[in-house]
Parts: sequence; C-alpha cells; structure tokens
Amino acid sequence: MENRFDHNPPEEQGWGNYVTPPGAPGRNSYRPGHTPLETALCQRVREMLPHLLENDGEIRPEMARQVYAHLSVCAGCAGEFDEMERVIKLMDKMPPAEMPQDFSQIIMQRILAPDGPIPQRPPLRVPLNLGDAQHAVVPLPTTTDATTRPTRAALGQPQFNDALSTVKVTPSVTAAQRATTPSVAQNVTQSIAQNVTQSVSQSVSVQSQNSLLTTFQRLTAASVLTAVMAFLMTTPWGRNALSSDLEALKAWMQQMGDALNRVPLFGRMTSYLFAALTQMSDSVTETYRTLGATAAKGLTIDIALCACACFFLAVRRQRSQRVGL
Amino acid sequence: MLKSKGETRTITLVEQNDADLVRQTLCGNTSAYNGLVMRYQRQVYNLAYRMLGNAEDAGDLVQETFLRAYGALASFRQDASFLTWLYKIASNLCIDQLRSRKARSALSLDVELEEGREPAADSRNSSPEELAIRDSVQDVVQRAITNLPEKYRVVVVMRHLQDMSVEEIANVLDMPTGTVKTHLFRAREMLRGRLRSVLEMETDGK
Repeated sequence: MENRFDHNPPEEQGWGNYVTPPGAPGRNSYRPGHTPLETALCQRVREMLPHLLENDGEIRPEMARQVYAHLSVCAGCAGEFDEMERVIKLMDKMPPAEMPQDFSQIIMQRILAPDGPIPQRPPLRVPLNLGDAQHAVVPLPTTTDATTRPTRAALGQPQFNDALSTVKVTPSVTAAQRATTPSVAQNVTQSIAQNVTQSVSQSVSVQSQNSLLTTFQRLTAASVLTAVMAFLMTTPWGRNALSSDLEALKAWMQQMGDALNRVPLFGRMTSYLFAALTQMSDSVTETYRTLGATAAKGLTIDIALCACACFFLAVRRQRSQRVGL
Repeated sequence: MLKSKGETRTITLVEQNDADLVRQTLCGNTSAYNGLVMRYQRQVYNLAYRMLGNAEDAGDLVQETFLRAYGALASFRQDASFLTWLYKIASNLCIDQLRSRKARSALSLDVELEEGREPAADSRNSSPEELAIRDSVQDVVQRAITNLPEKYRVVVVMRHLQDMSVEEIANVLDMPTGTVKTHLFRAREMLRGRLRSVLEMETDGK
C-alpha cells in the first residue's frame, strides 16, 4: 500500500537538515515500545501535535502539511500522534452516563417544600411603555400555591417596611421628644402609616400578577408620605409640632454635648459632633419655618426627598441581587 | 376565527425557548421550571457523574444544581445560554465537592496512619493491567478521568464527554481559552500515560 505521506520528502519542506532515523519508514509501521530518536525537530513537532489534533487554527495549513510530512518519516512522533488520537477516540466513544432515575419530580418537590429555595428578586426595571406591563423585562417571582410557598404579600411586606422606615425619618425624630409635645401629629402619622401598610399589603395580594408591583408600592408609599408631610406643614399645629420638637432636640443635644465635653479626649470629639448636629437642627428648624409659610415649596422639596428615598431603595435592592453566585 | 384558533394551538405546540421558560418561572409558574429541569437534567447528570465518578453523588449534585439555579434565577442573564449557566453552577459545585472529599480523605488517611493501620488500597494502587482485566474499557477510562486533578478533569469532561468547544469551556470556567487548552493538553498527556495498557491491548487485538 502506498504511504500517503511518502511523496512529501521533508528536505523539500524547509525543515532543515536532519537525519531520518534508521528503520523508521513511516507512520504505518509504528510499533509500540519503539524508542524514537529525539531530535530538536521531533520536539517541535510534538509541541504542535495537540494543536493539530484540536484543529484550533494555531497551525497554518502549510505548517500542518510539514508536520504530517515529518510524521510520515518519524516513527516516534507518528506513534505519539497515533496514541494521542486514540486517547481522544477512547474518550469520545464514552456513552453518556445513564441516569438512574428522573430527578425532575424530586427537584420540584424540594423547590415547592416550605423550606425550599426562595427566588431572589429580579432587578427593578421599569418599562418605558406602561401599557406594555405584561411584557416587563424581568417580572417578580410569584407563587401560585399560597399554602406551601412564601406568598407575594410576604415577599413584598418587608420591602415596604424598609421603605416606610427610611421615609419615616421625620416623625421618628419627634418620637424621642414625645413627652414634651402634644402628640396629635404622631398619632395621625402612625395611623396613616398603618393604613398604608394594610392597604399596600392588600394591593400586593390582589395585584399579584402585576410585574410592576414594586414600583407601584414605592410610588404609593411616596405619595402617601408626601401627603402626610404636606398636611403637617400646611397646618399651624403641624408646623408647631415639628418645630417645637426640633427646639427640644436642640436643647437636649446641647445638654449632651456639655456632659460629654467633661470626658477627656472622647468629649472633645463628640462635642464637635454635637455642635455640628445642633447647627444642623438650627438650620432644619429654620427651613421648616420658612417652608411652612409657602406650602407649595415644601411640597416640592418633600416630593424630591421621597423620590430620593425610593431611588435609594431601588438601588440597594438591585445591588443586593447582584450578590450571589 | 377557526384559523386563529389553529394558529394558537400551533404556537403552544412549538417548544418554548429557555428564556421564555425562565421568564415564566420568575412570574411564578413553577411548571415552567420543571420544563427546564426535564430538558437539561441529563447533561448536568452526565457532567456530575463523569466528574464525581459515582451515581449517588451525581444525583445529589443534579438536585443541588437545579435548586441553586432556581434560587438565583433572577441573576440569570437572558441573553446567555441557560445550559452554560447551569454548567457553571454544576462545575463549581463539583469542584467544591471534590475538594471537600479530598480534605476528608486526607483526614481519614492521617487517622489511619496514626492508628498504625495500612491505608486501604485504592484504585490508583492496583496496576492498570489488573483493572483492565477486571473492568471494561469504559470503566478504565472513567477511572483514569476520575483520578485526574480536578482542574484537568473538568476540561476533559467538558471537551470530550460533553462535546463543548474550548470557547464554551472558557466561558463556563471563567478562564482564558489559552489556559483551557493548556489544561486540556496536559490532561490528555496524563490520560495517555494512564491508558497505555488499554491502548496496547487495542494494538495487540488488532
């Protein structure tokens, strides 16, 4: 049989001067255990063999022809190439492992179990076209089985509480000074906040198919709190409640600052802090007083504050979702 | 009217793509996820079995992979391949398990040596010839793969048993393609040494 590499004598291929190993007529006559004569050329060829087998484009066609030419005359390299090829064939011949059973049933049972994995929230993306809400980019994970899975309301609730606790900053400042002021305003804000929580959780369960729910939740919270703040600032007793609280807070801060100032080192640091805080409360009081006069201005600023809070929440939520895997 | 009904039916019959199923799962339709599990459990099992070398661990790993994937489904990028993403989770879990297994076996070996016992002979200590006689060629190849270091094992399994391209492997393992190739070539070299008896048997048979 004619050797297909024989018509390509290596000398013509520019592989330099080397001696063909005696008794090495070509690839087809490879015998295992044959010790090849190691030459620099063989070394180079062997480095190329994996690339040749992988056919990964690392070896140009003309170079490949030269390598094959070398293989036709060098039994050692031909043997190595042959072995490599056969190892690959052995692995490629391996059949896919047979599954002992269908795992889908077990997996779905484990997913639906009460202690199963709870899907992460998808990142909040508001589609530009609200009419296209059905095709929102990534909808919220919801569940159809209310008994075994965490319900939509349960998933949504903590988030709303987050929103509430962040936006409720102003009323919570007054909570520290409850004893000194008539707490009508607080009662009002608290009852409104409770109503909001209830109504939102109701809307959560009702609108469980709506993928924009988190956005609506945040908008509802923002608008309700804005209304509360507007109400407080436009009524004289609301303004009084806010400003008198701040006066008392300022007095308390000064007191604390004085007390802490007596402690060496620590006192110095904290006194600066308290001085700054006092200054801040001064300016806040002033702001509220001026804003009280013009309710429209106050409303605008309040809306901006709420929007900031909502934006912050959305960003935090998205960031927390990127963590994982 | 009739035509439109027929069309609707045709649409439902067409197999839904992965991105649709993922989207439906995120909307709360858990049966859509079942579709994904049915579609890919075989591939994940094959990877796990070839990596871990036994059916029981492979089964556990398949379950764990799909549970993790479900929990993190929201972070799946819709433009990526779902199978590649699953492979990423599965290969990480496999490597973790192999490492913990290694740590455990090192520990038990220490205990045995401390107690003055001869450590139990494992498959590596018996000669390839014996193994070749005892088992089929496939078992020998599987054992040779299982005895590779895990970083080499994973590329060999993905390249030759899962039929993935070098680029896909690089994507799954977050490695440059050059590194994948180097690992692949080294792994094949090791396998060549370990499978020499099988290769010689084949030559003799011929």
